[in-house]
Amino acid sequence: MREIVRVNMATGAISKEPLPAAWARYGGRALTSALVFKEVPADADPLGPDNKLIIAPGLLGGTAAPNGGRISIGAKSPLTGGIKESNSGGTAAHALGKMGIAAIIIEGVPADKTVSYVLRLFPDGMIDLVARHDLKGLGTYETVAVAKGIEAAEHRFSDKASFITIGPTGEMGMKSAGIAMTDPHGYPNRFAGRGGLGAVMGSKGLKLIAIFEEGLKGTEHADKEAFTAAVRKFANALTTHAVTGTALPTYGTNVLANIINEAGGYPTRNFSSGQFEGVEGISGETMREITLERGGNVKHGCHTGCVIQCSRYYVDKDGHYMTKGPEYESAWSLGANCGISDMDTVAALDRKCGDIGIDTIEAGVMLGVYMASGKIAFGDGPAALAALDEIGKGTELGKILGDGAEATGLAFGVKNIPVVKHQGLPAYDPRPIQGIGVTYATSTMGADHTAGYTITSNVLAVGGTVDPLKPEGQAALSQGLQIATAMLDSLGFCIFVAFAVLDMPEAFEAIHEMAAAHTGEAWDADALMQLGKETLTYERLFNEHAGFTNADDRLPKFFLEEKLAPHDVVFTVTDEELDSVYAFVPEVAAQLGIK
Amino acid sequence: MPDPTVTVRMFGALHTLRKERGLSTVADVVIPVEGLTATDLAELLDLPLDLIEGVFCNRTVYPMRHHIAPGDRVAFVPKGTPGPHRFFLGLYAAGKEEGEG
Ligand code: SF4
Repeated sequence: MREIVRVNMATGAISKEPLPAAWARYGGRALTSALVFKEVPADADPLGPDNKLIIAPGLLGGTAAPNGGRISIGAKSPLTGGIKESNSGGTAAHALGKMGIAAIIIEGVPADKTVSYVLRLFPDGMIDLVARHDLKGLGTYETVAVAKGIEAAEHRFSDKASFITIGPTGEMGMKSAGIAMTDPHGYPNRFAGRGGLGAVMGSKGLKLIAIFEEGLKGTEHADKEAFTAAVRKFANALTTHAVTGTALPTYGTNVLANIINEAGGYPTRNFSSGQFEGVEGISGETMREITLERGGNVKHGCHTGCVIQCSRYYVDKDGHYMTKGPEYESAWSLGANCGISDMDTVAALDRKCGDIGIDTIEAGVMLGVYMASGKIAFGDGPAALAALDEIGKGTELGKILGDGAEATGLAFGVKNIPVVKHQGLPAYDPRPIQGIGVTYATSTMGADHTAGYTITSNVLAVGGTVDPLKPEGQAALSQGLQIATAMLDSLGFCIFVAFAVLDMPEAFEAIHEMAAAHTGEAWDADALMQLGKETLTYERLFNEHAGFTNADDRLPKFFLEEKLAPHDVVFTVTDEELDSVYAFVPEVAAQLGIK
Repeated sequence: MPDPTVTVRMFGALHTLRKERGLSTVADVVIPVEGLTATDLAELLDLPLDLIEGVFCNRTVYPMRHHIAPGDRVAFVPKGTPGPHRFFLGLYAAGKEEGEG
């Protein structure tokens, strides 16, 4: 039986309770969203005592399910004012899964704001909360280094430890602050970045969560043999498919840069053009060449059990680790969106964001807006780094910039601020790629690229026929994508498994076979999609209670009015179509008995 | 008489392949005035067809049977583009149609 761990930061009390039977199928995003819906008042102050930070491994966390080690973190978002789930790789999910922990709920706020707390979970089931004065204000890398030193001195640390931490921006309550997770090499370079969750963790006085997993065994399965067979089937699909078997491991996600640029949908200089003349310098192909030349690592998994291995390390000219090889979204936001075409500059910005603990997408969108204000010039890497320094130090200017793109745009009078539900748009312009515009507009998360990936056959039928420049069919496609993504996020799968599942029916079967063999319950394709729908229903209803209406499911006006070169198109999906995306919510809410 | 050349870009594995051959990843290719299919153009450049999923012609994705005309801007996309763009851009459909046309 999986358990929920409840930590009250006001009293220091830690308790365990069984996961409610009704939620036996929930993990990851389904669980964080169901818990936020049930336990957080929709009108709560996101940084106040009533908000709760929920951390949940996916349903298959702690098992050998290939690519099944994502961790979800949820709360009411200080950036969007709505519900937030942000998920990440790193080693923490499997560690928690092996401990039988379905979720950790961090609630309340401590009376003494000067102390940083560390929550420690040990393999024997012991959990404690300790006060530390030496971690306050440290960057994520230094926090982990200091923590490792302390734990080593107390003989608690071994390499088998996972850390979840925030940088100074989270402690200062900045709305672009994320939460960092350590990877298998102990670098805190995997992020639950979006929505300001780092500020929620900071408001709880919680600087670090340390999970020690030495000696822990994998979780038990209802049918071990069937689980092993399904794992084999799934791994085989992932390693033989063109996307997951070859392209992603070779170039990483940034292989998209040239492709999206060619499609005219690569937002450049604060979304003022759809193509960037300097794309070659920040492309996945260039990043691979530079990294190989300097002797860096170009292929590893962000957690054990990843068979795709899209991660890489970016190293400096002397071959020293700088940061995780920037993902497509980060290379875009800190590159093209700022008019910067030099990979070393992008990597330096990425490292700085990681260290001070802010979301690279929000940071790049913010910098684009700041540059559009004329305060610093597009293409000026040193000025962009200096701006991030201001954020890390928490200066007056830094506090504005650290609250993200919208706060920056409003403070400096910028006309075109690319946000939905107050969150910066990611790396695809919705004008020439209309489908992603539907997802941006309607996502329960605010503008979010990962809210809409896919696998199902009904989605494929639609996916085969839509024209990216036209509105027809986009709402249905986006709906299918959002449901499927919510499902994968709930099981704990990395989103990239979707591409193999798409072309190989046996891979989709393997997912419900793994779920069934692990839990002992009946799972099929419909049950998987129902999980996605239920997750979105909790999220949609929470947002409604928080005051969101259909009017919030809209793109900023300039996407509808200003044509984007080179296709010279505007976003044309109608409001009625946007409003159809969540048509399933009332029916699923009735099934769940919630309003 | 239109310019008989097309500019061709090559991405991902095709990018690497061209570099390994000591060639530029952007090529100006002279084609017949009546044009040719993307498949023929890829063969002209000695690109392995089994690595290609679709072709951009003037920034829109098409299957490999698409007709390329002089003056077009062309880019070959290898199999393996991740993300929802596989659907939103029509790459998935282009890859599926390949062989039918
Ligand atoms: S494919 Fe990439 S993101 Fe997914 S689990 Fe592996 S390394 Fe992590």
